[in-house]
Amino acid sequence: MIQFENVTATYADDVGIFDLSFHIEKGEMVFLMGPTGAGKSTVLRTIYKDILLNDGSLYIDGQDITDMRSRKIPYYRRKIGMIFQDFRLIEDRTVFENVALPLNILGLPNKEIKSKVSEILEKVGLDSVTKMRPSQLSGGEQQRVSIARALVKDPVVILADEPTGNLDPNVSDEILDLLELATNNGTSVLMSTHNFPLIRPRKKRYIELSDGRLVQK
Amino acid sequence: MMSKLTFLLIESIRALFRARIPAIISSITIAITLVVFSSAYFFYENMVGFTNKFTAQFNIEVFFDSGLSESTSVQLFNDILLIRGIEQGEFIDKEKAASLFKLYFKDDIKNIIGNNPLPMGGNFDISISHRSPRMMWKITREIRRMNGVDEAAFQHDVVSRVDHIIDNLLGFSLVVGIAILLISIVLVSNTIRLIIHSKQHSIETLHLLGATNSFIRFPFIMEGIYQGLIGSTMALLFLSLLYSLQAYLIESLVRIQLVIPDMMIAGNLIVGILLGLTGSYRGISKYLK
Ligand SMILES: Nc1ncnc2c1ncn2[C@@H]1O[C@H](COP(=O)(O)OP(=O)(O)O)[C@@H](O)[C@H]1O
Ligand SMILES: [Mg+2]
Repeated sequence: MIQFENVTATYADDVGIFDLSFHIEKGEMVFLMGPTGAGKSTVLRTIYKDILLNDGSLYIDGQDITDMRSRKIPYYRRKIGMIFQDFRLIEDRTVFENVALPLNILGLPNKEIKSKVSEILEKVGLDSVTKMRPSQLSGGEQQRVSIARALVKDPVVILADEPTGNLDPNVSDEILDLLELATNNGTSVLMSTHNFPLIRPRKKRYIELSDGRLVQK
Repeated sequence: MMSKLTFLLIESIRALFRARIPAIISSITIAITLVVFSSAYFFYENMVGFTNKFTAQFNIEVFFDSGLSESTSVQLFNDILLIRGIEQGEFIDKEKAASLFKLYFKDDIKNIIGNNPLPMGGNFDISISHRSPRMMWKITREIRRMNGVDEAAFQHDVVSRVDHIIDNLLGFSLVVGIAILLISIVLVSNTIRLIIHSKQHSIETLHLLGATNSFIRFPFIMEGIYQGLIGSTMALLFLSLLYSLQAYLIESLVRIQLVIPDMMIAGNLIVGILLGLTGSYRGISKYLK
């Protein structure tokens, strides 16, 4: 589902990620481990085409996205769910509208949007706050909104960049549960974190980065 | 597709209400531009209409050689009518010349001289497209060269003065108009940029969710169009107020009927919308890669 082949992507000569090769299966959940500055966000950014590769090849869902033209990037991003540490919700919209946004972008009929959004909000346990603004919610709830927004479009891949970075340990666990649940539908999940104790009990495969390079185990 | 369009239209209306203050500022800027523009145009049109009424100044008087027979004179008159720039003419035969003489000098020429020595000739009106001193000189010289013409003349100082006024007016309002238009576009795009700046984070998020540039741009463009519509409505209301005030003050004093140029309403709406459109397009472009 996600395949890195000798990928190098740099900001400057010695800064970035170097010669990365790894593979993530369909429906698999994999953690991207490493201290701050190790290159975790950079790996995720190459996948959602926010930065260019210097070298190597990148395949997502069987599609070679190495040299994707910028005109095509918006359409490609529609099948990728993204979750960030700072949630990135739109403040002047309700929870429901935030979650509906990817479907508005896809141009689905209103009826379908309504039922899909309601269904997903129920799934993440937010059906009682649909009319609230993000700022009226707790951090954990806001992150669940952003998970709902990623899930609502049935993505092939979910990229989560330190999604629990701002949350309490028990709330973090709930978030991980939700992400793990997503893999049941065949969605692959790649989640970055520097919090090893959080992920250890889950016994999932993890990829470790240090200074932009893979740490061999 | 339909649902996307409805979504974007609703978005744009919500955006307008969310950023009320900048939207009002933008609309007022557009309104002021339109009021100044329309007033200038209004007075310009009326000035031109006014000066065009002095058609007397835009004619050429021609005197034929005094020996010319009546039939040759008529022939010559008809030849002159064919010259480009001549709109129409009045043939002056000896009788007519005598009566004109009498009109001016309050006496019959036959009483003074004994017979009528006045030459025949013509009075020719110049078509609007040829009412400049240069063109009129050209026509006058052409007439003078014709066989049987003794003299041809026009009141060139009057013509050149009127021509000068119109030229100045035109140039002045053109320069002022373009300046106002540019200032307005900059002001509108800056206020819209202000609105957009506060939404930069949302725009980035939209990009990450897979929104295309046109999807992001559309609500802002629509917002610009609404601002243009609101601005031109305000301008039209203010202009109608100004017009009734003017009718009350000027028309009652100098008894000049000022006319409202055609297309005043349509023109204001169109220019207003175009202003809003260009302003918002310029405003948003900076934020879309
Ligand atoms: N936009 C950028 N421009 C220049 N350097 C950057 C940029 N983003 C990240 N970096 C550098 O790239 C390296 C990897 O960063 P990042 O991928 O954000 O690490 P992580 O997410 O693991 O903390 C760091 O040294 C960071 O300073
Ligand atoms: Mg990071």
